[in-house]
Amino acid sequence: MSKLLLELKDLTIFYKTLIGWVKVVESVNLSVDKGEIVGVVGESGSGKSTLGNAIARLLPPNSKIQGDIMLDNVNLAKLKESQLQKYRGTSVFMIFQNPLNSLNPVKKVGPQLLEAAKVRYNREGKKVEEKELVEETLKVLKELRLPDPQSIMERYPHQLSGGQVQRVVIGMALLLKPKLLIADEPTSALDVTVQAQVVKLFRQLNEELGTSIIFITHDISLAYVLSNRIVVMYAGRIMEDGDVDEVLRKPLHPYTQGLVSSIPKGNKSQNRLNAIPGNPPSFFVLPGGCKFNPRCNKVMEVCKQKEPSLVEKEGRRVRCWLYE
Amino acid sequence: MQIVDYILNVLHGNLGLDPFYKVPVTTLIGKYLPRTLELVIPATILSVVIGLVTGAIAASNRNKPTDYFIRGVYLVTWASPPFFVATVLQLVVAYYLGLLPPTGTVNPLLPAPKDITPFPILNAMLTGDWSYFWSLVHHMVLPTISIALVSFGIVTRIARASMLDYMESDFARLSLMKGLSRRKVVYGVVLRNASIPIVTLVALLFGYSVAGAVVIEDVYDYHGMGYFITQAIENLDYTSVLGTTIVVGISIIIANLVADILYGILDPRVRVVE
Amino acid sequence: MLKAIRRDKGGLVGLVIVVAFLLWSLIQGTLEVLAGYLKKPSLGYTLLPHNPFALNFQYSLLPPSSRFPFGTNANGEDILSRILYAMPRDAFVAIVVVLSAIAIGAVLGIISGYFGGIVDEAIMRITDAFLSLPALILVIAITLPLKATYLGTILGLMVVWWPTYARFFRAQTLKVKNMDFISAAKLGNVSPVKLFYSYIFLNSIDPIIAYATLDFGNVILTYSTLAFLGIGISPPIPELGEMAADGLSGLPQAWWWSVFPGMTILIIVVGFVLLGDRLQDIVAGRIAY
Repeated sequence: MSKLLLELKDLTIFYKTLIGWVKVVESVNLSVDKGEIVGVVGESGSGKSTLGNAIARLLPPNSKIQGDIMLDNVNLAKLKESQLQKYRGTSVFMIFQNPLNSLNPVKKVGPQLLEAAKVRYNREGKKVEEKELVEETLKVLKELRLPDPQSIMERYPHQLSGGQVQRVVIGMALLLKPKLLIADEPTSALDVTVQAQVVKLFRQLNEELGTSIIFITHDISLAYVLSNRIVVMYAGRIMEDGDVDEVLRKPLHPYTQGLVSSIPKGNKSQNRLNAIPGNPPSFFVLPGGCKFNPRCNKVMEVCKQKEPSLVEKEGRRVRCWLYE
Repeated sequence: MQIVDYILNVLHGNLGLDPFYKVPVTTLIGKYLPRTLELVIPATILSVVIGLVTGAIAASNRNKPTDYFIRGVYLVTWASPPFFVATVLQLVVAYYLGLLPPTGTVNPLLPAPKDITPFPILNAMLTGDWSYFWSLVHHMVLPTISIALVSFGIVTRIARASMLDYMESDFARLSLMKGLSRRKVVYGVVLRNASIPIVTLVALLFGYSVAGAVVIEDVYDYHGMGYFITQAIENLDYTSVLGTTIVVGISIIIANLVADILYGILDPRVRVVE
Repeated sequence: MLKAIRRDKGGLVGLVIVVAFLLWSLIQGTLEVLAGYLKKPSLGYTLLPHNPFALNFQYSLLPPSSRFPFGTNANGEDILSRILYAMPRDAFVAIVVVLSAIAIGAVLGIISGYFGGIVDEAIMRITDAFLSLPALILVIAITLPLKATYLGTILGLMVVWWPTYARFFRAQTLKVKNMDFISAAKLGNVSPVKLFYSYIFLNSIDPIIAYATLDFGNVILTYSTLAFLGIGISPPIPELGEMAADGLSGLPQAWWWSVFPGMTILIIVVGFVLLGDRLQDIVAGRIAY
């Protein structure tokens, strides 16, 4: 049995805009092993959320994708909308940023969870009584340390806090037992204390069910806490990809170096945050050559002329002329 | 000072005397309004149903032929004068196909059942006079459909727009992600949410339908408020028209109340916490 | 803007209908006014295929033919000529009512938004009342004491038509009121009238044009429906809604008598709706131009 779960091959994503088709993600090659947690890090507009939505095939109608999304030997990129249903839920599941919009506001929480459990049993071809489903759901809610699971099931989403809803959604994942979970900034809208609890639940999900997780975040320190591997994205491209400890200890790409040095260290000698100067580029007017060159502190002449490719270096991948 | 007298009278439920028939305006409205309500209430419900269904179909087939077709149909019915829609339906369904009676309120040869309520159709049901009941229904079908046709467009338009909004919502996407079928997500999750803003339209729609009924009754020679107002216009009978305006205003206020109650039932977020 | 309309079939159809209708109304309307002024009635129908008032009972209720494309009515009058003769009056109603609604709505809406408090409350309650009652019934109630004449009906429509615009201008005023540049202009001693003209009125022109285009259709629809009920007509001058009402007596055999005037209204209104929808899309930035 191979360890590989997901493989993206030359995945390119376009959006239709007023001036025509615009590329927002450019030939991404990425693989995720079974049981692996990959943190995808980048500023807003780096294409990281678009990438996540593309894997779940949830992009809006004004988009198109090229390339392959191989999940367990099935090419999700080539499936029709009607064929996707049987892979959604149990093969891929996705959690969104804003918990206030994640659940159907006019339906009680309980039935929404039961639907998830029912989907998995149907796929497994098992028939189960409603009572068993309810019991399993209650057990999951208890595992999530939600107070009084019975009454949570009877409530409407607006009667829960953001953290509670996000835990309910993670509960759906526990009931569906997906092979791959895509979490798009799932903790950004939460308080810091709640954030830590939710991150812990992701690890639990990964350890208990062996679910691979693609954790999309703008916060590199959060990715560090949770992930095995970090993928840094900029302007729709992978800039660096490697083991989390190595990347943090010795970032290769100047952009990653900027991100890492912006993490507050907690020691008083360094109380100045090193933010990267400038703003990420707009997809309408990408700079020539390396897309990071206008903001780079190690910029060379070649960076403005030609775009570097993603090359292997010290067991990682990096896209920078310093290493070619 | 006439106006002060009039307002005082109105507050006492007295809308004045019809100068032509020499009977109180309230008596005449009491006779004609129920017949119009028998058209307008089903027509309002019908236009909500047609509007929601067509809006949902159009939204889930966005920018495909079905969508364009539905948008074309509601554009035409919306831009039609109500009497034109009624005339065309009357010509085709009643005169050419002979399926329904072209004019009238009820078969004049049938004796009217006892007045238990102001509503003829309820009276027929309560007295078990089914031949009278069916005759009423036959005469109601075309005016009701005509009223619904001229007003459903606004529902389709808003339902389509809010369906499209909700289809991009996180909860619709999460429902898809859970592995529910697209059909279930569109018609179960999204439509259920999109029907909430439609409820706030009910009172407006009711007003539209009343105005439409006034004209459409004229085409079908149906003796409701339309007949009453047309008579009043011909006689330049101001008392009756003013009285009608007040009664229509009151019924729209009631329609607003109904809409508020429906809203509370449909949307758990506005329900009073037990 | 024209380029964006041309690229869309619906918008283009709307533009053609609207331009044709307005152009015809301008030419025919001028001739009708001149004819009345010079006391030479024949001038009013020089451009029409037939005299719209010619009583010719030998031609009574003729079906559509090459000679009478829309057939004739019971008096033997040519229906097409009567439709063409009636159009300028609809255009006039629509233009007068919409323009006055914009003017009244702008004044009341800006006052309401700028002063707030009781003034705002009072104006908004009036708009609520007007907007919840059907315009048709309100206009009937207003024009009937004015003997339901053409001018009385225009007045009635003017009285009930402004609330939507007042709402719009109020919202626009509130939006602009709290912006920094208004305070800056105040400090710079710019007169408030000039302030409102340049910041609120000029900023509102695009969305107002788009909505007003749609609204021309609404006015024509309401006016012709009133005419159907016998309000705002001045016989023997023909009116589209009134012709459709008269034509009911010819059903089912002489269907053309009622159907063609009704269809004419439909086509005119569809034109305004298509064009207005398109303009709203453009103003809202949904389409590039």
